[in-house]
Amino acid sequence: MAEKTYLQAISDSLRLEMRRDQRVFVLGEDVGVYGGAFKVTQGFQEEFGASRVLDMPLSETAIVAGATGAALMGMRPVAEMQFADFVSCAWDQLVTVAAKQHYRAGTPIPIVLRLPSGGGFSGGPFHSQNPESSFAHIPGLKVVCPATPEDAKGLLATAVEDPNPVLFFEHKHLYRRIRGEVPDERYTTPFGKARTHRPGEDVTVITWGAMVYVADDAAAKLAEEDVSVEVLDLRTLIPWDRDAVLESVARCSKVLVLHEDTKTGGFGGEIAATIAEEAFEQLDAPVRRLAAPDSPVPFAPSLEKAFIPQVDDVAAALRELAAY
Amino acid sequence: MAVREAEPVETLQQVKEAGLDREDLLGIYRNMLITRAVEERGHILYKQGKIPGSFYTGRGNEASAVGVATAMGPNDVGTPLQRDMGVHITRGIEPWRIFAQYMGRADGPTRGRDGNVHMGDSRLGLYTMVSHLPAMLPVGVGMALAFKIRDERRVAVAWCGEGASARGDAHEGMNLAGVRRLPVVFVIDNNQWAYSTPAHLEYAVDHLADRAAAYGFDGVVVDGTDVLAVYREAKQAIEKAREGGGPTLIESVTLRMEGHAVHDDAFYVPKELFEEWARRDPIERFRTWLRDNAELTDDEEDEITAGVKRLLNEAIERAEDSPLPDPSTVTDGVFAAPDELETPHHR
Amino acid sequence: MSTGTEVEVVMPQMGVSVSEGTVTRWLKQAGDAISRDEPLLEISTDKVDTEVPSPGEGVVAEIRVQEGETVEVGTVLALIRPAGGEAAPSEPTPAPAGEQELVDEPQAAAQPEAEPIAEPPAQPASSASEPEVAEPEVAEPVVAGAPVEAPAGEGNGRTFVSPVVARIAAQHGVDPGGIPGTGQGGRVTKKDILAFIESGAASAPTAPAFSSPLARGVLSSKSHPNDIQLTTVYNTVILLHRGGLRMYLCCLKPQN
Repeated sequence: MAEKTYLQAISDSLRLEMRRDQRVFVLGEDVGVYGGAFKVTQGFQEEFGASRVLDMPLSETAIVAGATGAALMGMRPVAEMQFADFVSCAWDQLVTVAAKQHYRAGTPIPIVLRLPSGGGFSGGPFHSQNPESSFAHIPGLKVVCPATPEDAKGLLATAVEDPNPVLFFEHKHLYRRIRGEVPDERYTTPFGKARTHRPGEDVTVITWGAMVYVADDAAAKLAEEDVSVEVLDLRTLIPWDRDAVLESVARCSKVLVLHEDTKTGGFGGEIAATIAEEAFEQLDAPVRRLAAPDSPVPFAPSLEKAFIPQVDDVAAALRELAAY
Repeated sequence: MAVREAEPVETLQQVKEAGLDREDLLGIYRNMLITRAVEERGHILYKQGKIPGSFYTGRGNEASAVGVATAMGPNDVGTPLQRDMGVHITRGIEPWRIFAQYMGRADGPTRGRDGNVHMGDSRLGLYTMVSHLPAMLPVGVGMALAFKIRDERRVAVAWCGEGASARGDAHEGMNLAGVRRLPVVFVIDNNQWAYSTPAHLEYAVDHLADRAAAYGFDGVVVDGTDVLAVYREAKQAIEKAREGGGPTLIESVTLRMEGHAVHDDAFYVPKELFEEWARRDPIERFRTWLRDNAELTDDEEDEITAGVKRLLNEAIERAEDSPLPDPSTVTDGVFAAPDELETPHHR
Repeated sequence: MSTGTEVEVVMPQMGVSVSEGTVTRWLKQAGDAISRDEPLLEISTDKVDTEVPSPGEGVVAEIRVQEGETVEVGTVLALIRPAGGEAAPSEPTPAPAGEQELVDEPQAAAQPEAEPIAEPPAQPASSASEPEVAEPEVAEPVVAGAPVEAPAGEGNGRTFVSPVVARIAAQHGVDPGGIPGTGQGGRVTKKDILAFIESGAASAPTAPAFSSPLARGVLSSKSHPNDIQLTTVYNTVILLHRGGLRMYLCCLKPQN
């Protein structure tokens, strides 16, 4: 066991995978000599060589298609988009080729796409997005959003083992701000299993990624007001842990679905609709969603604060639910 | 790094130098006949309402497809497109499975999940195309990337149409291939028409092969109706890639002899063009060459033709007997299971 | 392929967006011989004009669509009788077993689907104050032997009150528990409560008068008219409770 940052946990996990399996290799922009824009792969090229840590041309298509073709030939590529926002350049490769190949041709495409996502540091519209929902909507892709260092390490290992294309969203805001105890050895964390970040009884918050900490801070405030708030960290969106969500809703009967991505068409809608369909009779209040407003991510700090759900926003929503 | 125009193969001796013997030549001829017959029969089945969706053929491209595929090694891989039925035939996909594919049957290569030439067989090194062209071109480059990383003497062949070459995927794929000197051969099927759009509205250079220099490798233009010339160029390029010489761009020029699909009668193509290229029909051309240079006899011809007819009759019958897919399986196979990963490459 | 029965010639779909075609010219007439794949007629569609090759070998038995007529894709245009074959009802184009199953499935699916919805909720929301000792054993899952269509009052009544019913009930000072329910598992639907209010029954108590204050209080809040059975020896009151039943043996003095 050791205390590691979220970033170190990811780096460790990837290093262990590359040591364990010769088929695993890394490709992306600036991942080799530079060690990656966020330094996740620092030291990798020295350890694993230039043929397993590839500095790719500025081409998301070439990176994702390159990974797809290599995976068809038996490799286990872990590709990196420098920012999650740039995945839109590789949209076609993911949605047209990677997502649909196994369904049609029976050939698995075991690729992992690492995506530094999220905002909160004036990154502006093109360095701050959480483009998870559009990919969650495409059958054939898996979507993973760890919140803790321990989960990040285990989920990445699972992603590398998974025979399907996995979009691994690493929230940049958590990279160096969040530390946690992480086992030294390799372990896998299952997809489709949520984690109770904070147990509670009166209201439950269903969330993932950086919002887990925002929800937790809001829950702490409400505890002082005698409202017991549960925080459920989904950890993965495709697949997502329906049973855990429904169980939490059945116990608490009041639920807030929270995500940093924009509201309309955000994945929270899917969760809310499922709750309404399947837990209608357990509800003691309408299902609420809290998410960023429907705009591009703004640059100025004052605007960004109005965009990203803040602790006070979450606390206010929880109070309303508690009082309903 | 200049663009060359390939020369025709004239004699049996030249053929032998290119690595083929007489048996191989008859095999090539047969494959071209099967390719055309599969598409002609499929065309009829479509008009009889037995094939759903749409129907595409590569009439006029038989030599280009069969020529390149014949030059590929057994462990080489490829991403052929909708005009390249000859690649599937040559690599060994059985005609009955092709008809089952057309008809959306459960025994087809995609088990009814995709239609017309969107098929493949990874055991034969063929990877199923998509409609967004040429999205599979950079994927083919990715295959070559794996070969390079593992230091394997295998080659990927990535196809592209002259229309599809206008898309970024072609540029991004070729650029990566040139930068990393990957073992991939690019074949541009230039049949001069992208649906109703003529070549001069798709690119501004004289030859698409001119672009190879921009990516750091050689380009060559070849008469796509001359199966032996295609074979020779493809063989040269594939072996060069195998030896670490990097990519080549082969531009194979033909005319698309039918519409974009069966619902298109190609009224926009000047009749004279059809007439001119009909005189250069690749099958007829090779048949003449075989008679003149390889002593193809009437008996041999009849035997081959009868064999092809028999093969196709049996194929259609078998495909028609194949069941339709079970509707309850509609979501099967969206995700792969861990035990499906074939892992022969674990150093 | 057909043996002895007629083969249908259908209007093909010439392109994915095409939904109909026009017969422009018959190349053969009824009674003419025709070979497999031989052109039989010409058609015209929005996209292309083309010929239709014959799917069968034999004689053109019947022409059903005339020149100039426009029909939908899939329409039978003609029938071909194989040489030496009898005129017989034409077979549809290959109908696999799968299609048969498709017809039967919706009915088969209906029963299993009913079950999850009818299950009692995991935890009764307001159970805290009542002694629940007997209930777990007595409670039957509503689904067992209770088809969806069963009217309320078969002993497995449900007291789940949906938000809209609760609102209407509150507005009219009505207790949903005293209303006949026709919804899933016997619950009171919006229609039920609106009908109840409209019928004027809201103001009349449904319970017979009892002298026991306990019984009256209980009856007025939870009873259903059909469930109160009085006998000369035992005065039994069957109370409906969420997901189960509770029986009271009450010694009650009937009012007269």
